[in-house]
Amino acid sequence: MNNLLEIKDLHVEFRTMEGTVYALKGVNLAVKKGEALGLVGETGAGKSTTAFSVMGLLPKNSARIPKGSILWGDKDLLDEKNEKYIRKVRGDRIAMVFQNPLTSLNPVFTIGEQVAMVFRRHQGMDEKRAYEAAGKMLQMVGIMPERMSDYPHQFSGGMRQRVGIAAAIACKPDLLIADEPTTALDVTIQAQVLELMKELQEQVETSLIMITHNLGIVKELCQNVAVMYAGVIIESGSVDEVFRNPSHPYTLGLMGSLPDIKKKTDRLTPISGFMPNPMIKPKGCAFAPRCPKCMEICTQKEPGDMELNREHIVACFLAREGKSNE
Amino acid sequence: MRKFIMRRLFFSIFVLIGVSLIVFLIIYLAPGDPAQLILGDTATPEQIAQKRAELGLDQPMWKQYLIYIFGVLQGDLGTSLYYNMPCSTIILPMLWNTVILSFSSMLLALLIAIPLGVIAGTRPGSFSDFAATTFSMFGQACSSVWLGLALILIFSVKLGWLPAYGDISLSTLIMPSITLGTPMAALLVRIVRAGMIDTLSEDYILAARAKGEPEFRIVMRYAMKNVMLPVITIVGLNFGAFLGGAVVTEQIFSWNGVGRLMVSSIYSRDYPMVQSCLLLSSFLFVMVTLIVDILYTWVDPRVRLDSGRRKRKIRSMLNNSDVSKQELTVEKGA
Amino acid sequence: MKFTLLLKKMLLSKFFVMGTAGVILITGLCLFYDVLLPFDPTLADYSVMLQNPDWFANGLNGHILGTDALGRDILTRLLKGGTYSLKLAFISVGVAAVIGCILGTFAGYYGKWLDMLIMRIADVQLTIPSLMLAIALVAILGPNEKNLIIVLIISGWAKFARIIRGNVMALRDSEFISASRVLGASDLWIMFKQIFPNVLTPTIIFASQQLGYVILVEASLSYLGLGIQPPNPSWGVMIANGRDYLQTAPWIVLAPGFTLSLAVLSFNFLGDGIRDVLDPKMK
Repeated sequence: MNNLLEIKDLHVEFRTMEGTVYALKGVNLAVKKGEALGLVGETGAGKSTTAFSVMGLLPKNSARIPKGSILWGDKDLLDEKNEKYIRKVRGDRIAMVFQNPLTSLNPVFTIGEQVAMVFRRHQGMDEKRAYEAAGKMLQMVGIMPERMSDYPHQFSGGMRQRVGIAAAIACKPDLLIADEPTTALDVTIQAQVLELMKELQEQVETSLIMITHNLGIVKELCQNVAVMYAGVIIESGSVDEVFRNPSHPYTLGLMGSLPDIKKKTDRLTPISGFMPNPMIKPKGCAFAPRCPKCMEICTQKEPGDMELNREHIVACFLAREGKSNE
Repeated sequence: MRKFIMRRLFFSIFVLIGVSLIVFLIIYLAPGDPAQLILGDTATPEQIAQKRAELGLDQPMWKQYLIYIFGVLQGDLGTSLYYNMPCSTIILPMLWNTVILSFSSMLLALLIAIPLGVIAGTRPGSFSDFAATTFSMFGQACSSVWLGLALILIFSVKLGWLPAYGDISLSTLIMPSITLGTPMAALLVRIVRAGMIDTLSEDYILAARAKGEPEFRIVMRYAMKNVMLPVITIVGLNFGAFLGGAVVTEQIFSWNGVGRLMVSSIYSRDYPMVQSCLLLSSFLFVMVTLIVDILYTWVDPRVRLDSGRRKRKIRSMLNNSDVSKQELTVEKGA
Repeated sequence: MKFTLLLKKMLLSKFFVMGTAGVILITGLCLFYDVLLPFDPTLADYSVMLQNPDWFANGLNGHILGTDALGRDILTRLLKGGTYSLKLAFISVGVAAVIGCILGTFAGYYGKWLDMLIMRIADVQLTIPSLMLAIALVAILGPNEKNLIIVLIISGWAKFARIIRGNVMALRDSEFISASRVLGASDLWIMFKQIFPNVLTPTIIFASQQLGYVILVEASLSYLGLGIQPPNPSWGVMIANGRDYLQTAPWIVLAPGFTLSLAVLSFNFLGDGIRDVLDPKMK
């Protein structure tokens, strides 16, 4: 197994007052060492839930994991016996960058302190050395050491996100999960931050799970991609393969909805319909109601994973029949 | 920052002037002629007229007000009709007593409420949360009237452990502090608990967890600092209100404070003293609120270090929460 | 809000249910005390001074909670006193709410100098510790029931005005107001037809929270001898009377004290419950 992280058949439910929300319905995902994986999908598809599951950050009161395992090396992160191990691993070997740079930094602590805490926690450094190490880290992301004693609200969104990134890669983690890190930033800053992440990933040799709904970012940054819909991965493979030959109608729809800069378009082509109500466990394929190529069997049975070739897996009956590209 | 302080100071002075006006008018609205009160029922009309001239009561109102104000600014709060001494000499030691009581009550309230609130906030829905919330509900309904007497009944009358009144000492301080502090503690438990629940649901706490920080540290260090911010405001506000309003508690325990003084002055129709008590209490309230506002802006880095626009926004937030200031004040017959 | 939905919410809120139950119980008992109990609350009967509570040994004819130093039945006095407290609370909070609402609306809507004027007066008034202010006012006006109501109203209007003003200011710049103005609606019409319904909710919520507080203030004033005057009973008066007998007849103090706390608790619960029903976000 040369997989760094392997998520196997992960089911996640949330108990709410209105009923049970089936957030993840059998997610299979793997990340190798040094690989950058893009996790793509609409809002509500379950991308963040997947990320939080890996980090062990699901809300304890409402989240339930009835089935599945998350293998990190040889340990299952979902196994309660490994709780202590998981806490050690969190922030040290697996780190996360959050979506909203404003709310993910504590407003009453300086950014220096917030990066230093990672060093103190995982590398046992004393305050002084941790602070120095934090300074170096911040410099790496392009923040001058003079600003270490400033507070988050004194920075712009892009800078704050850099702080978040600095804290995340401080201990040179094996895996970095970035949950839509640039969604809250404007386009020019987005480019800068992505550039930074690319550099760092190469320098530090971290594996990356990049969660985003922006296919362009995936193309730029990632080698592999996994497309998520309604709590399942419906297509995955190398970026080249999937982008060149999208096989699931949903993926096709996603690609098709991107306006082509070379063509003159009057109307955008969205995918009609909405994501299904996560409180209902559908029979058959979750995408069936919206699928332009839906067949009878799609509403009866769940399409399992179908390997198109070594770098391409699709969960679709159509793909099985090889008729998806029309 | 300086501008903010200046503005607040100006506002405080303005309010104090308003208060002094009201306080000044009290003597005029009170029944009975002050000169007659001093001289008693046997005074002749000439004597009364003479006394009136002496007290300057035949001057136009606005002149009297100015005289009064000048006097106050120089430390002369009038002469007590009852004690026949300057009010200031009588009041100041009493004020100190009230301060001691307020201080210890607040301290007690904090010592009880903060741990309780933290426990409740970190374990919402649990038994400890239920216990804390119940305490908070009942505590806020506890009036000093009843609580004080109940405590005396139990600890002085039945058990004989604590004295019901006497010179200021630790043993005489306990019961009044509990009486005054319990409603405050109840309120604080609510605030701390709500603040903790809110803070713990913030993204930056999630981020701290993602960094592998243990839960204990997250609560005590990273969450606490945020939770304490509104607590400071409320503690300060109620401290100021304590100073003036612990009237009933002082009465029950025969505590020689400003509240008790005011009540006895009302009975003896010692209006200058009443005036002085009102003025001084309000002054203290204003001072404490001012200090608290400044303290808050210093403690919250968002307010401390930023451009005017943000400060104005936060200040207006603080000012609008003035509304809840009085709402959150635990004066209920304290 | 639809009526059935409102009802459902009311039943779901534990606070509301408990608070309403408590309030109804107390109010009911107080209103009908003369039907239930045979004793006169103010008439002294020296033959039965300081009797221990019978509890229910003699049914409703016995002194269920005992008698005080003048032989008056405590439970009767308790319930009669309750009528004063409740009456004072409801009237003064009601009037204060109306005044505060009107002034607050004007202040919030027109802004500028009217706002400054009203708010500064409110500020000044709120700076004087409210119990002290009440005491001083009572001293001036004289302690009788009517004056008490006036004093309580004066103490209370400012808080309402502030809250309402805040809400009105927030609403003032909303689009539907601007739309009305564009259509030529007069200021008064806008204020009463459009702004007022929106501030009704916070007013009700705050008013219900104030009821408990006002009852305590009245009790405190009465305790200090500045509220309801003897021989009329009031919980505060009874507690003051009973203070001297703490050792020998503690029930004289405990009964009104307990009832006071119960009443305040019920009103607080009711207040929180109303808030839960009308606007749970406001926690």
